[in-house]
Amino acid sequence: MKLYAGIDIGSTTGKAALLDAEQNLLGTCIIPATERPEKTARLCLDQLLDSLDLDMLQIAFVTGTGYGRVRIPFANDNVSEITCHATGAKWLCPTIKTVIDIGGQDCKVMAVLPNGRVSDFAMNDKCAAGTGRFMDGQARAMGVRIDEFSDLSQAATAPARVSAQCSVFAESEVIALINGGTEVSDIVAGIHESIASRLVGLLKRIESLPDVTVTGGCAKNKGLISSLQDMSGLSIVQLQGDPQTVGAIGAAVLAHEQAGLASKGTARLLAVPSGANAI
Amino acid sequence: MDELRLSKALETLTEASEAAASRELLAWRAAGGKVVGYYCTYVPEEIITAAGAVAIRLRARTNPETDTASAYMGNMCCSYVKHTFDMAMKGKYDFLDGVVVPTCCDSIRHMHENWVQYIPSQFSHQIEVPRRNDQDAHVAMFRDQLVRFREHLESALGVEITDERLHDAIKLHNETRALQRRLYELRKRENPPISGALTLTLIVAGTSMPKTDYNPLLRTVVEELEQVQGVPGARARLMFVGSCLDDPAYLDVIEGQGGIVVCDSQCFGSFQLSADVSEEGDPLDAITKNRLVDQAQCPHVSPSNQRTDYVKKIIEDFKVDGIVCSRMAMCDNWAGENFLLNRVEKLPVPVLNVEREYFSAASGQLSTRVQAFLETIEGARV
Amino acid sequence: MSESVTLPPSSEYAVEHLKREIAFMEDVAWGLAGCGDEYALLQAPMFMTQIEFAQKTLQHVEEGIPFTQLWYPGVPEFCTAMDLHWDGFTRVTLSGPLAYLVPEYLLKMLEESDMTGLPGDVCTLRRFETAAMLAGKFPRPTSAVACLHPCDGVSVFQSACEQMFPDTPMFWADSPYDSNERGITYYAGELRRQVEFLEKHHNKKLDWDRLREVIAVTDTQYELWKEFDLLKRNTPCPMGSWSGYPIHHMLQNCAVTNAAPVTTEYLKSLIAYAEKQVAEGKGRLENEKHRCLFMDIAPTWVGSITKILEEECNAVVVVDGMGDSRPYTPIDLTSEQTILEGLAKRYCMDTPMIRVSHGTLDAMLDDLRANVVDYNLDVVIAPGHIGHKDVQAAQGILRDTCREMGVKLLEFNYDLFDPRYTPEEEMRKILTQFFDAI
Repeated sequence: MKLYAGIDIGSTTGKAALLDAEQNLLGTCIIPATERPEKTARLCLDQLLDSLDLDMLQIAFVTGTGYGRVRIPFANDNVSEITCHATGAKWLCPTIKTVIDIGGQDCKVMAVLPNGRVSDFAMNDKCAAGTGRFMDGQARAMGVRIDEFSDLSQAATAPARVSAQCSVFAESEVIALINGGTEVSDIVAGIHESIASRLVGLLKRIESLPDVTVTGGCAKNKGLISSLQDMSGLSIVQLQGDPQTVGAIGAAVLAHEQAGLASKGTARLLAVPSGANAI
Repeated sequence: MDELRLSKALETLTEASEAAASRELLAWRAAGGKVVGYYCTYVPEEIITAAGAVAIRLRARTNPETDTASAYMGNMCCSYVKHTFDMAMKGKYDFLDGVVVPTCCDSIRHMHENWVQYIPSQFSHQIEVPRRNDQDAHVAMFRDQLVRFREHLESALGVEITDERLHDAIKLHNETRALQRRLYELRKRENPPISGALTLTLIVAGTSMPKTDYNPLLRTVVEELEQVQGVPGARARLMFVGSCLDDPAYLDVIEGQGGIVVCDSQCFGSFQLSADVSEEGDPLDAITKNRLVDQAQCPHVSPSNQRTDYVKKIIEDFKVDGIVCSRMAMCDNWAGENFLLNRVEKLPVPVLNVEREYFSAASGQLSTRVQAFLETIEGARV
Repeated sequence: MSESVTLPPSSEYAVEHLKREIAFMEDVAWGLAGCGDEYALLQAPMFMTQIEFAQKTLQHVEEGIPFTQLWYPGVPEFCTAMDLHWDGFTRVTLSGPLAYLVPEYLLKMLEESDMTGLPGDVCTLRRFETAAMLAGKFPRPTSAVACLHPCDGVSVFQSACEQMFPDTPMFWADSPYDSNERGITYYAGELRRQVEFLEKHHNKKLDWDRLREVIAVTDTQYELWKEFDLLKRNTPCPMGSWSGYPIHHMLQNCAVTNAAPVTTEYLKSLIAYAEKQVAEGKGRLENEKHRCLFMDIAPTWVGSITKILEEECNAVVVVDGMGDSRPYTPIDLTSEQTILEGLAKRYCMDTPMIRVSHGTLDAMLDDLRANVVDYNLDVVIAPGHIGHKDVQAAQGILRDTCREMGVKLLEFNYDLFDPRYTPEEEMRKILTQFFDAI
C-alpha cells in the first residue's frame, strides 16, 4: 500500500501523520523535539510507522511543515504551517472557514477558502502574547502546572483582570494579585481572557467567518477555549483527534495531492477534496 | 549577449553597493573631489552635482553596530538613523564634506542638529519638505528651500552654482533615471531577466558613486540584459512597498520562496526614477516640480490618493500578484501607509504585512510568511 | 460660494455614542460635585463645559445644523467670530475627559483600539483615531480643518481621513519649519486659505471686526494665563501637578469656551487660589522636595502618576508640555494681514506642542532652559512617549542640555494614552528609585 506522510516539526514537538491512497488517515504521532529537526522528523515518522506495522519504503511522498520544515532531508516538498493547519482543519471538518492556531511560541489565524486554501492570515510570532509561552511564566509564579489551567479557570468565580500586554509585566501583575489574596482560579481565568483578547485582535484583521476551530496544543485547554468563545462571540467547533496533529494531517493531505500532481507534471497546489475518513 | 562584459559591470556595481565607500568614490576623493552625503529622495542630487561634488546616499550596511549611537538616542529611535549615526560617530563617514538632512520624517530630521552638535567638521544643511503638494504656496515654499540650499552649498564648498551647471547636472541625472527605467521595464516582462534583489543592488550602487562612473556601467548591464531571456516558473509576481530598503539580501529572502519582486514603492527603488527633471526653463523650478509634484511621493507628502494611485498603476503595469508591505520598526510614515493600503484602499491584490529593522535577523519568520503568502496567491488562482 | 450648506447624516453609532458619553459625563459630574475638595472643584467649569461641548454637537447633529470639525491647533477664533460651531477631533478620539477620569472607560477604549492591528510602537492616539474612524464614531461634519503637525503620526494617519471620507471637504494647514518672519508669513498664508475655506463651505463671511473683538478677549485670557504661570514660580508651588494643562484646553480646544466669559472666570479663580496659597506660604505639597518639568502632554493615567510623584516622591510637576503659557504676545489688530500673522505666530510658533515640534530642537531646548531657571526646577522628565519619534534622535542633545543646566533627567518609556504599556508597579519602581537616588 502506498503511503503519504505529513511531518510538522515545531520547536517543542514533532508530529507525523499518514494517509493511504484513498485518503484514509491511518494514524498520527507526537514526540518531544530533539536538538535537530531532521532527527525529530525521522524519529517521529519511524515511531508512527512502527505503531502501524508499516514500512518507510511504502511512502510515496513526504510533505514537511513547521519551523524545521526545510531541514527534513527526506521531504519531497515543504509547505508553510499556515496552509497546513488550514488544510488539515478543513479536511477534518469541511465546514471550517476560520482556524485559530495557538502554539507554544506563536499564534495565528487563517481564513479558509472553500477549496481549502488560505485566503488571508495574521500572525504573532514576535512576542509571547496570545501563545502558550504567555502562560509559562505565570504558571511558575503561581506554582501550578499548565495542564491544571483548564480545570482551575473553570472554577473561577470572578476572573481577575490581567491587563499587561507583555508577559514579563504580566508575571509581576500576577504576583501582585497572588499577594493581594486573589484566588488562583480567578487569576488563571484572567490569563485566559488576556490571551483570548489578543487572539480576538488577530481575528479582526481577517474576515473571520464560522465555522471556527482551534488547533495547537492550547486547544486542549477548555477554559481558554471558553474565554475565546465569550470574547469573540463565535462558537468554536472541536475537531476530532488531537488538535496538535492538525498541521501534520494537513501536510499529509497535501503530500497525497502533490504526489498525484507530480505524476501528471502539472501545477503546484489544487483544491483539497473534503476530508472523509478521519479517525 | 556579451557575458563577460555583463559580469564585469555587475561585479563592479555589486562591489560599489556593498562597500562603505566605493572604489570610484574614493578615487574621486583622492583626486580632490568633494562629497556630500544625504538622506532621502527629496534632496536634489542635481544641485550637489552642479556644485561640482558627488552626492552619496547615507547607508550603513557595513555597520551592524549601534553601540556608539545608543548613547545619543532613545529606545524608540529608527534603526536606519541609529546605524547611520553610529557610522558617522565612528568616523566611517570621514570621506564626507557635509550632509543634507531633509525634514521628511521625525526620525531623520534631528540628525541635522546632531551633525551640527557632534560632527561640526562636516557642514549640515536642512531642507524642509512640505507635507502637502497640492497648493502653489507649498510648491513655492519648497523652491525657496532649494534656493537656500544652493546658497549654503555655494558658501560651504566655495563654488558658484550657475544655471548652466544645473542644466548639465539635470541632464546627467536624467540619463541615470532613463537607464534605471529601462532596467525596470525589463521586469514588466512575463519572465523578467533580473531578480528584485539584483535590481536593488544596481539601484543602490547608483547612490554610492559618481554618476559619471555609474551611467556607463549601468548602460552596459541594461543593454546586455535586454537581450537575455528570463527563466519562467516564478510562483508569483510581487511588489515591495515600505520603508527605505537598501538591503538586497532582504529581497533575496523574499524571492527565495519562489516569487519574484518585479517592482516597488519605496525610496531606494522606483521613487528615484519615476520622473525626469524638465530640461527646459528655470532649473530650480524644474527640480522643485520634479521632487514635490512629479516624482512618486513618500507618505510624508499628502494628499494620500496620489500615493495609492501610484501603487495601483504599478500593480497594473507590472502585473503584480501580491504586495509585501514591509515597514521598519518605529516608522510612523509607513505604518500609516500600511493602514491606508490595508484598511482604506481596496487593492485588487492581497497584501502581506511584515516588520523589520535596518538589520533584520529573523529571516525564518520572513520566509515563513512569504511562503504562506505565495500559497494563498496560488490558492486563489484555482 | 455654495448656496445651500448641508450636514451629512451621522451614523447611528455616532449619535448613540455621543449620548452615552454625555450621560456618563453627567454621572461623573454628580460624583465630583459632592466631593467637597476646593482644589478639585476649581476644574468644575472645565468639566461642565466639556459636557456642554458634547451637547452642542449632539444638538447640531440632531437638528441638521452645519458645523465644522477642528483638529488641534485649528484657530478656534475664526469659528467663534463666524458663529460657527465646531466639534473637536480630539474630543471624539478621547471621549472628552472620560479617557482621563474613568479607568474602566479607558480600558474599554483601549481594547476596541487594539483591534485596529496597528504596530505596537505607533502612538495609541492613532489607534483611538483609526478605531473611531473605522467604527463611524465621529459625528459627520460639513467640513473639517486639519493640521499636519506635530508629528508624522498625525500627518499620515489623519491624511487617511481624506480618502476615508471623500465627501467631506477638508482643509490642511502645512506648518513651516521656520519660526522666523518667513515661517510666520507662510503660515499666515495658510490661515488666509483656511478662512476662505470656511467661508466657502459654510456660506458665511468672516467679519474681521468681530474677529478683532474675539481676539481682544482671548488676548486678555492669555495674559491671565501668564499671570497664573508667574504665581507657579513660587516655592513651594501653590498648585499641584499638571495645573496648566486644563488651561490650554479651555483656551484652545473647546468650542464653547473659546473667548467665552466662563474661561476668563475660570482663569481668575485659578489665580485667586494660587494667590491665596502664596500669601499663606502654602504649597500644594506638604513637603515639596522636587520641582519637575514633564516634557509632554498629560497622560490619560495622570491620576496615578500624580499620586506616585506627589505622595511618594514629594515631587510636583510645575510645568508640563501643554500647560506652558510661554511666550504669548498680544496680536496686532491693525489689518487683516497683521491679524493673520499674529494668529500664525500664536498657533504655530507659540502654542504648546506645535511650538516645540514643528521645527528644530531650538524651541524645545530654549524653553527647557528658561523653564528651569524661571520655575526653579531640579528635575526634567524626558519625552518618553512611544509616539514621540521626533525626539528619539535627540536624546544626546537633551542629556547634554540638562547636564549644562545642572538638572537631573529622568528617561523612561511610556505610552501617554495606554497605561498598560508601563504598568503602575513598574512606574512606581522607576520613579521612586530615581527620586531616591537624586
